Amino acid sequence: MKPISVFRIINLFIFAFLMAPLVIVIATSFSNTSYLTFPPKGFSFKWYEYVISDGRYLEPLLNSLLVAVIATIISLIIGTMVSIAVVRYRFKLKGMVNSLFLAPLIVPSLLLGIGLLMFFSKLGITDAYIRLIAAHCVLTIPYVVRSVVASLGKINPSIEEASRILGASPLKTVFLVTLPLIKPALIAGGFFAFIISFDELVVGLFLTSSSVTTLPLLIYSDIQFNLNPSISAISSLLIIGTIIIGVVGMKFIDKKNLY
Amino acid sequence: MGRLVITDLCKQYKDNKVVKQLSLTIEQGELVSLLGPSGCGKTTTLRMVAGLLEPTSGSIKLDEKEIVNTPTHKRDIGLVFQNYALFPHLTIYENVAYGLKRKKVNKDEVRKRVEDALKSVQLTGFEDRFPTQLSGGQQQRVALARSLVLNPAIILFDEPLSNLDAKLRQFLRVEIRQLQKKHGFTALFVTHDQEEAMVLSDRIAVMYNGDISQLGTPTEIYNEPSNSFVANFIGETNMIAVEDAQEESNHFTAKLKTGETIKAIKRKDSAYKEHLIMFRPEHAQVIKQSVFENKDEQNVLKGQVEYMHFKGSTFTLGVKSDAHDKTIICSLQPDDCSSSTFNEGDDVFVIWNKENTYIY
Amino acid sequence: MKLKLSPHWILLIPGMAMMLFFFIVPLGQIFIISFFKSQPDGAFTLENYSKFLTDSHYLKILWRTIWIGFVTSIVCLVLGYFLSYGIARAKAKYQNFLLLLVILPLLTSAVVRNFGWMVIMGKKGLINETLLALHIISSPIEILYTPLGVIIAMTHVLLPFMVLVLYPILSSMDLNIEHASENLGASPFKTFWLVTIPLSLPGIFAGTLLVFSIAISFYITPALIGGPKVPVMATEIYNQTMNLLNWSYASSIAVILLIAVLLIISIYNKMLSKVSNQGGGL
Repeated sequence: MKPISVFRIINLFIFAFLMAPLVIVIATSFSNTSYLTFPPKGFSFKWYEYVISDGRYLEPLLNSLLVAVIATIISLIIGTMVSIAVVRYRFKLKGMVNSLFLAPLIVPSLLLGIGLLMFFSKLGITDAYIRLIAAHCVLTIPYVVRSVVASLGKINPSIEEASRILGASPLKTVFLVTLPLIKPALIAGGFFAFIISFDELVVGLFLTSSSVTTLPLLIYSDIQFNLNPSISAISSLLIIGTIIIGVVGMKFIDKKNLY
Repeated sequence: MGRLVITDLCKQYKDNKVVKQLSLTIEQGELVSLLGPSGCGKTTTLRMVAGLLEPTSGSIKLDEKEIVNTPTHKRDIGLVFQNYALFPHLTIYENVAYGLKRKKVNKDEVRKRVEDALKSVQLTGFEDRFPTQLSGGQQQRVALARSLVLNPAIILFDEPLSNLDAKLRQFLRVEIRQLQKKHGFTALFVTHDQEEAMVLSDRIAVMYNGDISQLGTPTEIYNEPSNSFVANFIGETNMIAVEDAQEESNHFTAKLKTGETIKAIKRKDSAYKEHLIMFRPEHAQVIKQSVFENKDEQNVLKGQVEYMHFKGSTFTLGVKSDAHDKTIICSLQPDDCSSSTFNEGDDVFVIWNKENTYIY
Repeated sequence: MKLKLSPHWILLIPGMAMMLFFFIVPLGQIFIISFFKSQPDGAFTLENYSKFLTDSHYLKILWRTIWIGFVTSIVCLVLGYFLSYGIARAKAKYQNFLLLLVILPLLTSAVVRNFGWMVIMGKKGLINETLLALHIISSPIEILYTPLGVIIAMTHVLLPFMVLVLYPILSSMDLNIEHASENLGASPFKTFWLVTIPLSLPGIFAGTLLVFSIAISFYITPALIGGPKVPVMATEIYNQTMNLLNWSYASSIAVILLIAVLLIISIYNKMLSKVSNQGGGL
């Protein structure tokens, strides 16, 4: 056998390894039994019907969407402002400012969860939405800053200067020239911010209350205390949703500079 | 409309003075070039006039109105960039209409003025294309139209032709000059290309080290360079070191290290400061030593022919002389000699008039 | 003198305020608390740290965290190198699709992926059912709730990160160098071993360090796949806070973990800056 085909077969197995849990989850979601088993016995949509008709998942889903949308919007606005300052202006400590906004990528989210829980308790902020949105903004802003900084760096400042010379105020220039030119970076950054926020579990473990929970948290607790094929069904919906968003979002992403 | 008066303009970064006490008046309808090597402060000056840089001190007046504290977008100024700086996300039409829309000009008038502007730069029919679909020369014409359409009091040019190839550059500078005369706008043109400055300008301001070294018409700058820097920067020179010089009633008499005396007529502002005399290659004659007699009190240097290059319209002769560390360059007309007149190593005299001699 | 706030500070104020309140202060609080006794009148002490670093129960957890992280990084490196090399040398039109296949698992919720592994590894899961059916084993083997299970699932979670570090390096490598080597008589295997691997060495270190730093602080997989039987630092921190309410002690473990991660990442950034000047670091 040629070495190249051995190599291909190995790679095929690795791709299979990557896809395995996703495929298994989808396969078990059509199970007809009331317990999780493999291979799944029977074929039915009953767990999908259950997930959609039973209200259990609806509120956490809406919570997750609400938090993710708001956190993404705030991250995009603040992150873009930070990126413009970092790329377009000279000032002392610029390197440190830039590193600060990328730091949440490094710091384990577990620590952020503990720290924020202590912080919010001390201030008496108990509203789970405020807690989650604040935490998710911190967690998602690096993705926005990283992608917008890279994109702004590629735009020649003289294009923005031309706009001002032609009579547009600096603020107007941002909206008429800068933002349209960095649109792909905003989409890519926003895409990651949304996914990171929507999937976030660990910080949520610390910051949510019993009355307000998110979808990943509900799935997490169901896995531990309430294992049944409905988890497969809701997870499958999440997988398919991610694939759709992923395929669309991938167009805008510079895959060579993700990490 | 469009008289620009710059007074005592300074720009300083920490201890580094980039522009020093620069003063310059540009009359309405005039095209003045800021000419100088990179780092001389010419672009910094232009960016301060445009409002893209804040001066450390000094005043900039446009039509008697102080504009130093006016933000860029409220100054009545156009700017054509070196890299064109067209908006890549807008069509050519939208690029040219951009400034008019900011001024809230009504739609019909925008359409008419954009069409006129594109017509004047010969780009009618390109309205719906995007900048990347155009050649460099076309893009720069769009940038020009984008400024023209607003009828600004003054248009600034920041080395607008330096990204283009030589042929296109020559063609476009004529076009810019014609448009400038036709529309009558005042222009400040920054360049490091002396030929460009000579061809385009009403007056040239040669800049050196953050200040204007000499200001004058192209002929003045070329014929009466006021110091060795300007002389060197504009055209070719032979610059010879002087040991000592005496000032007399209508000329200077300079002594070279090898003993020869060189006479230079006195000009307005002539002064002996830099210990140099200068003459231009085209003012030199070269004569074989065997046939020479000095009748007209011309300046003479003895030497040997080092090389001879045929350049088409002229011959360039390099002459090595003890009086000068470098080779003396002489530019001869083909009428005066042919490739067989001189051979390498020939003993020759280099001769030139005191009227064509400059002392610094 | 007129007081004027420079435009860049106006742009930075909202972001800096956010980071100060929701990032720097909370983390600072963990740091401070780790030096005090748990009681409200707690005094300054180094006890929290000395307890973690001397008690054999906790040293076992520390050691388990490190070796699980280490094995995971090495497995990720081997698999990731195969994948990255395969993608980088695939036809250009397939590269984006193959990368998408690697990134898609990264985008799906980590909870969902671990759930998938629980189904695969469980007593009645895919592996056991298959092995039983093939009569390779007579009774189900334990994979779930063992370190092996944690390593498998964590490898799956972290493999895409490895590819994202290695792929850009391998794809930007000048193919002519490999051709030159083969031209000089080296077999493809030799070329791979003598040319490709050494050239990508900084990337290998960088990717391994990145995966290791995420692995030692990862919570979801040890919590779900490992459970109480396989405690690691991350799960122990959670246990000490939410179950035992021992915040000071948890904070000291957290600080140790954070310092380790920061050290590793700073080496990682140095490694990465050696292979690319585009600043792909964290």
